Order: sequence, then C-alpha cells, then structure tokens
Amino acid sequence: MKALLLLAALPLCAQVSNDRLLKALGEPGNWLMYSGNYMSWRYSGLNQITTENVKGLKVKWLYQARTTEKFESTPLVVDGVMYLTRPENEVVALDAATGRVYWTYVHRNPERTFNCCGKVNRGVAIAGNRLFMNTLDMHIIAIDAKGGRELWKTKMYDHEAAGGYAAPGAPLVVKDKVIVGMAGGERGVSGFLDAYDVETGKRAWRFHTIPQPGEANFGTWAGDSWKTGGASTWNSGAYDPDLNLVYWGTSNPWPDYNGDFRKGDNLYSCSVIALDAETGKLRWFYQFTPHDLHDWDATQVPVLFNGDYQGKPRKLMAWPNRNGFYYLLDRATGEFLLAKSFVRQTWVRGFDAKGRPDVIPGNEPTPEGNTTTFPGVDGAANWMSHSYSPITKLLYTFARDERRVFTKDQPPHPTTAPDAANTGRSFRRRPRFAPEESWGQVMALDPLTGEARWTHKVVSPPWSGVMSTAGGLVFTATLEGVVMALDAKSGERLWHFLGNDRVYSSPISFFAGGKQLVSVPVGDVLITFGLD
Amino acid sequence: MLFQKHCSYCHGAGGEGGRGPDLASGRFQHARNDEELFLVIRNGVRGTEMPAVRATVDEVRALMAYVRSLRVRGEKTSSGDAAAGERLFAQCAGCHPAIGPDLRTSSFRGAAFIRDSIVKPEAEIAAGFRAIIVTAKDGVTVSGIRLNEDDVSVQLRTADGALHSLLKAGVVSIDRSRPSLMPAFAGRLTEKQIDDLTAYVMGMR
Repeated sequence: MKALLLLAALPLCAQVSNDRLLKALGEPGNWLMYSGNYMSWRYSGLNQITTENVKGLKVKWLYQARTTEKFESTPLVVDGVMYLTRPENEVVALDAATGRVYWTYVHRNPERTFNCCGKVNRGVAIAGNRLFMNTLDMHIIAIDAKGGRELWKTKMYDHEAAGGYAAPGAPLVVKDKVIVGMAGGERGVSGFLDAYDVETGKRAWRFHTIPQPGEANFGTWAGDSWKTGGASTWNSGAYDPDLNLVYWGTSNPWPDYNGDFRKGDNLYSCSVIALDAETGKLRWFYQFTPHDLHDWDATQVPVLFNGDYQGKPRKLMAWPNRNGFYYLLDRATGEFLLAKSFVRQTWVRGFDAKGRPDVIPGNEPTPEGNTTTFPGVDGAANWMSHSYSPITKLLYTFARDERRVFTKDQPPHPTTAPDAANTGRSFRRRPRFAPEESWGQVMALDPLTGEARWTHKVVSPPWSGVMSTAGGLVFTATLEGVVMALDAKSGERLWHFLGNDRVYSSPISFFAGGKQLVSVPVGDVLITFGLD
Repeated sequence: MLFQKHCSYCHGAGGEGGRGPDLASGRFQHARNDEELFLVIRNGVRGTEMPAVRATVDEVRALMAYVRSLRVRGEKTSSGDAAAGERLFAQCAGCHPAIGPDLRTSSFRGAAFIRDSIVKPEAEIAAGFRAIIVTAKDGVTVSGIRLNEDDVSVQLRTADGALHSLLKAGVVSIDRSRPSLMPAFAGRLTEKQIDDLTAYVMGMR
C-alpha cells in the first residue's frame, strides 16, 4: 500500500531536465513541449493505436473548459500529469488518465487587451518544475508545476503601447531560457522575440524583428514606417541543439493590405529568423514574402528534419507557408533549396536562385476588392501545426484552399492625408463565394520535393493542425468538429468521431493509465480518446 | 479614418462585414443601445474575436456615430408602388419566411440590392439559404436548403419545411449547380412590378 501511494505521488514531482527536453522523442509517453519535440514534428512514437485497431477508439474522458473563447491550447503531458491552458490565461493541471483536476492557476488580465483574434492562449512550456505561460497583457509567468503557485512574473512590454501588444503563442524552453513571442501585427506594433531566464524571469535578450537604426538590414522600410511595421512573432518556434539555433517565424508588415507607406522589402516581416540561442543574435534569415500585401504571415511552426538533398546529407527545414508555397531550406545556412505550391496560387511566376519570388502583377488588394488572388487571406497554412513522421518520412499538413477578397483600405498610416481621403466611399457588396470554391485538404508532402503523395479533401478550410504517430496514423479534426484518423500512407479515413463544434487546435498523444490516449480540443471541451 | 484604422481589418472597408459581422445592418448582437455599443468598441466582446479598440473616449464616440451612419447607406427609397407590391408579394409569401430569408429582419442593403435579388436571386445567396440536391445510393433525391454539412453527413430543409439528414456514406452525389431555390423574376415581372415589389419589401423592415 505504501509503495502504491508513492507511485501515485511520483508524477507530481516530475523534473523536466534539459536532457529530457533534448531527448523528447525517446519519451513517447509524454508530450514535453508544444510541438512534441524541438524539431516540431508533432509526432508520437506510441504505437498502441494502429491502422488495424483505430476503429475501436472511444472517448475516455472530457475536460470541460466552459469558455466561449476559442480553445487553441496544446497541452503538455509529463509523467501522467497534463498541463493545459484555458482562456484567457489559466493553467490547469489534471490527471492525464482521468481528466480530474489537481489545481488551477489563474492570471487575470485587465478588461482591455489587444488580442487580434480572440482571447486565446496556445499552451505552456516546462523546465524543471516550472511551467511558463505568456499572457494577453504581455507577462511571462513561471508557475510551480507541483502546486500551481506563481514563482515569478515579468512584464515583457506595455500591452497598451502603440496599437496594442499581446502574447498568445506557446513559449519554447531552450536550456536556461524561455523564449517568448508577441502579437499585434495588425495594429502597428514593432515586433520582437524575447528570452527570459527560467530561474529569475530576468530578460536575457531581445531580438527586434524590424532592424533598428544602425543594425544590419536597416532601411528596407520607406520613411519611418519601420517604427510601426508589425513583424510580430505570435506562434511558437523550433530549436536545433547542434547548431544552437532558435528558429521562429514572423508575421505580416503593417498596414496589412496597403504598402503605399512602407515601400521596400520590409525586413524581417514574413520571414524565418535563425537566432543564436545564447545571445539572440541573428545568424540568418529568409524572407518568404517580400513586401507582403496579403497578410501572409510566416508564423507557421518550423519543421526541422535531416535528409539527402541532391545526393548530399543536409540539415533541412520544411515550411508549408501561408502564401501557398511549400519551402525547403538548409537550416544551417538559410539557403533556399526549393519552393512548390501546395494549393491554388496566382501571385508567383517563379523563384530566383536565392528564393526571391518573381511576383505576378495584378494580385494586389484593390479598393473595390480583389477576388481572384489565391491563396486566401488566412492561407494555405496558418498557425496550426504540421507534422513530420520519421517512419513514412513524409510531411503532413492540413491546408486551406480558399477563395477570399483582398481589399485595399485607405492608408491608416499617420503620415497620410486626413479624413478627407476616405469621404465619398460608396457602399459595396461583400462578395459571397460559393462554399464549394473553398475547402480543406490534409496532405502528405514529400518534404524533399514538395510533391503531394496524397490529398484528403474536406468540406471547409480548417483551423486544426495534424499529428502523426508510430501507429501509422495521422490525427486531425475539421472545422465542423469531425475528429479523424487517416492512414499515414494513403490518406484514407479509418476512424472518425463527430465532435460537432469548431476545432482550433492540433492533437497530441501520450500514455496514461496504461493506455495510449489522444487529446484534441473540440469547441470548449478537451476530448481524450483511447482503446478499451 | 478611425474606422479604417481600427475596424476595417475585420468589418470591411465599408462595414460590410468580413471576418467580423456586417455593421451596415444596423443590428448589433452585443449592443442594444449606445451605452452597450460604447463598451463593445471600448472593451471588446469576450468570447468573440472582437478586441478592445485602442481609441480615446471621443474617438469611440466618433466611431459609434460612423457605425450608426452605415445603416442608412444605400438607396433609401424606391419609386415603386408599395401597395401594388404587397399584392405581388402574395406569390413570394409561400417561401418567405418559411424556407427563404425572413425579409422583415434581414440586413438592409438598399433598393438596388433588393431589386437585384428579385431579378437574379442566385447572384448572392444569404448564408444558410444555399440550395443543394442530394442523390442517395437508393436513388432517392432530396432537394432543399443546406442547413449543415461536414465530411460525414449533410442536413437539409425541403420546401415543405421537413428536415432531412443523410450520411455521406450513403450519398452518390451532391449537386450544387443551382444554389438558389428562388426563381429568377427577370422577364416574369414587368419593370414596374419589380419596382413595386422592391418598394413593398423595403417597407417590411
């Protein structure tokens, strides 16, 4: 009896060392970081649930978040304990086998927060016994994983500054630092990526995603538009311990759909940046969409993998982008290797050797609304996770193939003419496209070529990511709440569950109570599935 | 200018809607009066994507005035004879509001829009009123308004008001090529009759 009690108590004392984070793939029973491992594979090495038995998957337990906000969280699971965030900024520790709650930590935001798209949070990071959550009012908070007590709280930035800042993405722990991004690119902020000491909460470095005067690459923004150029860092990143590089995607330049007052490439918006993990210094960058006019953020999670490219082993980075193209980069150098569209696209003729797109005129937003440019404003890919399977060596993505309208608003930049510019605007109709003009598709891409191996089409453009497993499955969920498992080799749907509410998250898998379980938020409920 | 800066990103340059609701309808789900509209703009709406607007109190009041003004955009009057239009409407009342939109509560878009909707109803179909024809494996065909659809099933309302749900595993095809159940009245009504009907429909709100 005594031994049993000790066993039961053990999980709450878990220490997640740096070594465990580095070897997260070797602990398939746990889910130790937002994307599962530093390569952002969102892959589970568990194989209890297979293509053969997945039909027997059943609901094991629910966690009722009781929120009307979008439930975008990816939980962590550490030795039988799940750490989940629920809107706005609460952390819940629960028993991963039953869903019963151990403790809840609540951070109360002020009434006014300046989130773009809902009062959301995408999850915590862990180091040692500390959980880290960033908040909508721009704090980073360390919480004791055992008791749910606050250990330190650091204000990252004035959340009411400029157009308003917020921090909805999941942080990433790298050694003794927790790396945190920020949002606000649709409101004229100035982007950065921060690192804080996990012990003290003291800021270790800040990288400005828009070069400041005197820094390299300053001067790609006309006039003083760089001061309010956006380029935020609102999703999570990846890490290569051998290169000691942190990879992070950046958002659109501001104003989103009107570049008249920010002529130039607008570095480092719509880019991937590779930073030295110790210093935050830029090692390299690649800009997917120079001078973006379509809000095609490059805030997707970077997927790292190794492979032979043109007969040579390379350290690679796979990137299905919001702008409709799949990219393959060398992650040691940032060298552009290839780009291939994976949805309908109308804006690029080709790429030069350095990966600069040859842009087709006529795709710009117009005052009356451009209705013929693809992909749509929400992408192709957005923030939802991709997945890489080391078994199939395929990259899985849930693509949005969508028709939308791009409207060029009157320039809201402070240097523009006053209100007169906007008078006399006629009332316009919003184009309502037929539903069949847009859809979603789960895709398996050969990451070395960008070629689609299979495509599984669904009714609506999704807001869910994908997870692949060693059981030969790809889990995801549609906007309508159909949670499904596809055959990772063929794309055939092998199992589904009708959740009947929106899904704005990506699945995870873990081991609890002697079973492989799969969790995904549907509506405001975290549903956890398993076999009998 | 304030509207362009703070609101147009989601609500469209003319308030016509987009990511956020149509503000030109004059109906606000979260604001029944000016006090509530002020709080919606100032603080945002919890549980939605509507954030607090970073604006001063005076700017919020200016935004309120502008948003209120959107409702009266578009042509406010029609040259038609509403009384004559009411008689014509008898042939519309079989569907409106049983299976077509309730014209007493639908968004106000001006006379030209109503006229277009009578002449070419398929040009723009209100959300939730798109017609499909589903053919099942047993040969049964169901034609109606698509209420809901996912990758496993589809739900419809037929012209008699009945509700249907079909599993896609049992469906052979879904015909989406005739998205409006409403017949086009171009050529079936005279120009004068269309004007009369327009005048009556405008008065229904």
